[in-house]
Amino acid sequence: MTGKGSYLIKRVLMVVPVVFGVATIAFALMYLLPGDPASAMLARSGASAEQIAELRADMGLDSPFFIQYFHYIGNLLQGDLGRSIVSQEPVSTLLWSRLPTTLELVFAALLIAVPVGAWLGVVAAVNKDSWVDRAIIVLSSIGVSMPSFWLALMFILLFSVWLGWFPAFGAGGLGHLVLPAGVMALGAVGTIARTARTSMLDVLKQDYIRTAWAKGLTRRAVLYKHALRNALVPVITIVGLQFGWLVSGSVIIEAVFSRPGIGQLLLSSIIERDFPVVQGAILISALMYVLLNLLVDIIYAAVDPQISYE
Amino acid sequence: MSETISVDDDTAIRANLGETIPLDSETPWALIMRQLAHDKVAVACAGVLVLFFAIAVFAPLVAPYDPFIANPEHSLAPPSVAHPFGADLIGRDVLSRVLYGARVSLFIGFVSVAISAAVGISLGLVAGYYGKYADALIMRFIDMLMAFPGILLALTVVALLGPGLTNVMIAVGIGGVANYARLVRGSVLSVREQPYIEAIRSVGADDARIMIFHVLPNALPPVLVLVSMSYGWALLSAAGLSFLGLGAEPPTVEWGSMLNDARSLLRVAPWTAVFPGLSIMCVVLASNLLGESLRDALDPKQRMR
Repeated sequence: MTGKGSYLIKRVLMVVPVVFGVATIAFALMYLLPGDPASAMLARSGASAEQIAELRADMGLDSPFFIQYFHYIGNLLQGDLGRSIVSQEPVSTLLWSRLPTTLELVFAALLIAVPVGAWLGVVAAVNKDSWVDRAIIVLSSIGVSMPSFWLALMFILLFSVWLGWFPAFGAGGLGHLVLPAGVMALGAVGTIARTARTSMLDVLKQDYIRTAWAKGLTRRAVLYKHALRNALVPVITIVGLQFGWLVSGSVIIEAVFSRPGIGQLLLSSIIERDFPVVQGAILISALMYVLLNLLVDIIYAAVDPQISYE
Repeated sequence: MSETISVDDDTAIRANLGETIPLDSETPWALIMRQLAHDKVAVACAGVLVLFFAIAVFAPLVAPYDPFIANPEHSLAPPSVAHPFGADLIGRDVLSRVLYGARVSLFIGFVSVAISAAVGISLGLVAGYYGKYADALIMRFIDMLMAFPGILLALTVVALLGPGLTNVMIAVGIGGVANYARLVRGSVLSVREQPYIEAIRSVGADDARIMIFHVLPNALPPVLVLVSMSYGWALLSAAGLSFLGLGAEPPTVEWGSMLNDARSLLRVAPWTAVFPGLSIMCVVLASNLLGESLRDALDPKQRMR
């Protein structure tokens, strides 16, 4: 088997225990909680102790730990995440209905952050040690250190309250996406710009770039055709990691902008102590992150001929 | 650098050598401190952090008003000489509240980082030192934690423990464990097989003694970088959880929950939102940049080019 083939197989197999571990943590979360879903469900309707005990038996909550665990994993494999305590709807239905809103937000943010970040990184690298470079470094540090919830409030104040350009709350058309995606992107731009800058500086020192200059190629051809393509490989990895940060950050952004996504669902479920939903939302967020990073590594292996798994 | 120094100019060469090569008599820590003292960014960041800690400690002395007492006459007063940062809905002075807020916000950052470091360092030491099953078990656990990106792990823990300031500190602390464990494990692996560890063991030191007094000190410089950088992250995450209503509750004054209160006042009193956020940003920026300067001082090869 070729080195690349075995790398890919190993990389895919590495995900299995992690996915399993994520599911286990999500299960443990539920199991460790004081009280149980049956009493939580029926407590709202003021049921008797007998009725609660009956529901517990129905839900398999009186079985031993491992039986419950296998039951949970078995249901999970069939896509059954249980039912919401509050709305009684299946958790999977709730998650599916919220997922597009969150993905729309995260991908819009990446769509802004990746080109802007990569471009800033290249500009900084090409103008190394100039005031342009310094300004980009300072701005990216500020971008990374800025609390997203504060930036969101400032954006609402400026673009919605004062200028009236974009709506501040809700989801729907493109107008509703601009502010939340812009806030999310600004945090990611800093990280991406720094990665792109470091990577570009590495590439610019390589022999093949010197050859490209020596051949008399135009600045444009050297920088964008020869250097940038190679410099983007580490950027792809960072984008994969950023995706996870953006999904988890969507809890805050969706709360500020009242967007009905996974993050808002997670937050309201935590506050209402609707644990099957909390469990499902955490599980799906972590799974998206793990699987997207798997995808990034596969793309990475396909793009970069030098990669092999140590 | 070399072209500016003539070979004859002995003193210049000495000065140059003195900058880059540690003298035998100088400890690594003294070298690091000396390099940091030359780094203007590091000095400025340390200054900002010291200032905020001084504010936290001396809040009762420097705050112009009592941050808890309502003063309806000044309700939503815009910034003025009497209230430089304005006043909130029930007329409390925003400046005084920002100053008092430093106490709780900086403190939760500290406790969270202490939890991350204590748990992470212990796990990393044990995994790296004992290897084999201990290593496999601990590192698979760390892999699982790392599948929860950003604030998600902290949210998971808050979901389990319930909202509240103490639980937020525990949650953010657990959220940062993985980085410490991985860092310390890496350092331990690199020194575990060194002859001096063998020598200490041969004179009868037990595992705990070797780990704490001989292995750990080697891992401390990079841990210090991580402490500085994770402090910013911890403060940001804890403030974020408070902003979501999962952390500090009234009457506690904390920057994140001040911003939460400011959400509904954004149209009428934007000043209530501006200053707590700026304070968070200053502290996070200073501790991130100080961490970077420290990292550069420790490892010139990794310096940002």
